Amino acid sequence: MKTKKLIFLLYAVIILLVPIYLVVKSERILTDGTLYKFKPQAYDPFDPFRGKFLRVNYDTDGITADDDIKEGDRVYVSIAIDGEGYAFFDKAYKSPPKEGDYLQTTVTYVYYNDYEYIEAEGASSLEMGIEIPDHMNKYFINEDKALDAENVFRWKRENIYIGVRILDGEARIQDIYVEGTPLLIFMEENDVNYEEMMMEDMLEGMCEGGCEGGETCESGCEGAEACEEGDVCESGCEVGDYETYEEIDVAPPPVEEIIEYEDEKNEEEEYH
Amino acid sequence: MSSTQVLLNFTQKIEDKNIVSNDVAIKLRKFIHKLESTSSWELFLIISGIMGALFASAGIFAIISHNWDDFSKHVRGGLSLVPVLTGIFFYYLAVFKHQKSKAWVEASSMFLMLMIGASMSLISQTYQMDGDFNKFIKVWAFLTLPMFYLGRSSGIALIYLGLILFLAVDFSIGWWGIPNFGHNENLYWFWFFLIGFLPHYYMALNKKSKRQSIRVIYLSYCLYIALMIGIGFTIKSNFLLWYTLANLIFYLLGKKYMGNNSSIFGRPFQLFCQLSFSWMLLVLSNKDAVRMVLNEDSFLKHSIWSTTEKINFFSLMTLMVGVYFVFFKFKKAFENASYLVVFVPVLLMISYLMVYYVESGWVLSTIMNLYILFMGFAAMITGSGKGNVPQMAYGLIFISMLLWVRYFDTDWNFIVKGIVFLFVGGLFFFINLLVKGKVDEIENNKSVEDED
Repeated sequence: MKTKKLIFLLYAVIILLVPIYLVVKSERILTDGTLYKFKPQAYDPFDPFRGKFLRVNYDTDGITADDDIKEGDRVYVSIAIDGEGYAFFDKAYKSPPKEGDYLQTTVTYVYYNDYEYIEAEGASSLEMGIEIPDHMNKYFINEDKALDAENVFRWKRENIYIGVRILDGEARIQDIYVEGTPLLIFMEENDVNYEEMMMEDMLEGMCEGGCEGGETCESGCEGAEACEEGDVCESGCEVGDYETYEEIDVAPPPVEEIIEYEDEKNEEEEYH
Repeated sequence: MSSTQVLLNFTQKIEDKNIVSNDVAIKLRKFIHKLESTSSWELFLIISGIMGALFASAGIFAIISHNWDDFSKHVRGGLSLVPVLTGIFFYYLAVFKHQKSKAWVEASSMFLMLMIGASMSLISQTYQMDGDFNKFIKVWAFLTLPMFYLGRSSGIALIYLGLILFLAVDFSIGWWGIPNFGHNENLYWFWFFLIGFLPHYYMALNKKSKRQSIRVIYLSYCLYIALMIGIGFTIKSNFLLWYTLANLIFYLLGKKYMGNNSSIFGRPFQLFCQLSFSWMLLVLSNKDAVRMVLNEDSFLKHSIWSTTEKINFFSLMTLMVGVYFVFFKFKKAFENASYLVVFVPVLLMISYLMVYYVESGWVLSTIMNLYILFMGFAAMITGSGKGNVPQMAYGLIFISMLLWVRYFDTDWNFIVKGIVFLFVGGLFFFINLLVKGKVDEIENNKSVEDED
């Protein structure tokens, strides 16, 4: 029994050591690792949340390599900073580079361009893709805040970067930053209806119905005549589709103009 | 109805018919109650305990998934240890304070196994380190394996074997959402964890008996399914021969240790082996299919083999020779084993040779069809002798399946086909008459006893 208790004790210690090791390792990277700002290349706007995480992608174009790299090889990709202060994946090596931070990963594809113009310009003919570790593609978030975070991503797409800590080839997402502020804090400070905000942005620059009286659209129609969708009035606002106005609760144009517009639309469809 | 209730009903019947007196009936009932086993009740306790552990664990997983960003990372990191500490506590209680209660041990093992996963998941979520799934499984399986030996729990086998199958199978999703069943480099870990599980199975077996408990039957189902799926993904060449040989090994193990389990579902190895062989032989009974299937992976194409394939074939042949050596040396241990089933791998080897050396597929196809007919009739005759109706039904269905397949894929003249199948139909009616005779005999015996 005593032996069994000793074995159990050893087993319990090993079980506890595993999560403790994971915590310590992660804390070390987040404390001692260098913070890099990565621009998210894109995210899936239709299903950005699978489960309770936000899926983000990184730009892996333009990675070069001197060594003879093959698909499936383990590589160490150096991290460089561009003129705007954002990090990007620079060059792949077969062994860890002596200087600077790097990401340990695997080559997903290798392609050599034969186009003469690329060679003539001195650019590398090598195109390669790397596997971004799963934990860099997923940002876990509270499910109650998931939808708002999705809207923030759509609304502030140009002002977002992913803060990633890298140490000895390992990476951890520290946070997602919106206009320099961590995502969740940004959402708390800007407690707005994001859908309304996005709709306002979308409506900005749209005309009600046709152009104002006396104005001429680019297409040449004048005054109260209903201009085509997408046409631009002299004042600079863009004509939208009449149907859109119903959706956004903006006052529709006069009925006569709508009727005239619909008639013209029908004639055009019959003609085609 | 439980066996106790069956005996009690029987006692009531013989008392009503005055075969035994009232005093004898009372003594019988007392004795039956004395023999009543608690095993069914214990089984219920075990299952309800495991279900409770599963649901409780699911609840904890759901709470974890909420993503408690109101707490700091350090607090969440510390909280992530709570599930596993709780699991260890209950496991300790079960193994050292309630070791006689199987329900406690099984439920706490299940709970601890899932809490290990929960803790690792919580840390991954807290530190945004949801990473390599294969690594996660390896660590989880490694931490689960000792539970089979510390507490001797078997309930976790299903989840454990299901987990390690992820190591053998590469379930990446390719273009258009189509699964990409590739070759996973982690398959060696699959074999490592499977072999680590085998001693537990061996210890659970009642080696002195041909009748095994529900626990062993459950483990047998899990083991067979895991191994067969694993073989499917890890064996690159001579797959059919490996598959057949593995089934034969399971069949012989079943005959040795589970031959006396009353229900066919209590003999999973025999059940799966018969079904697998039946299906395989039916496919190979078609003259075109047999050439196509056997040409695909023939060992006679050894001239283009790599070293790995040569080692693979050599191992296969060595194992096959070993299995037949054991079978013939210890024939008594495998009594009632059907030779027709035992020699299926040999039939397959001969088929490979025939496909390679004989042009016409008709010869091999005829041999396969005759083999199936013999297997079917043997099952019916053996079943009839033992009064085993399911065995007779299996034989009948097996032959019927063969005939139906031939009906649709044979290029005979319709008249000829019609006459042949009329004859077959007549044969079945004849079998029906024979069995009817047996049924009438039993009915007659009943009425004679009533008269007495």
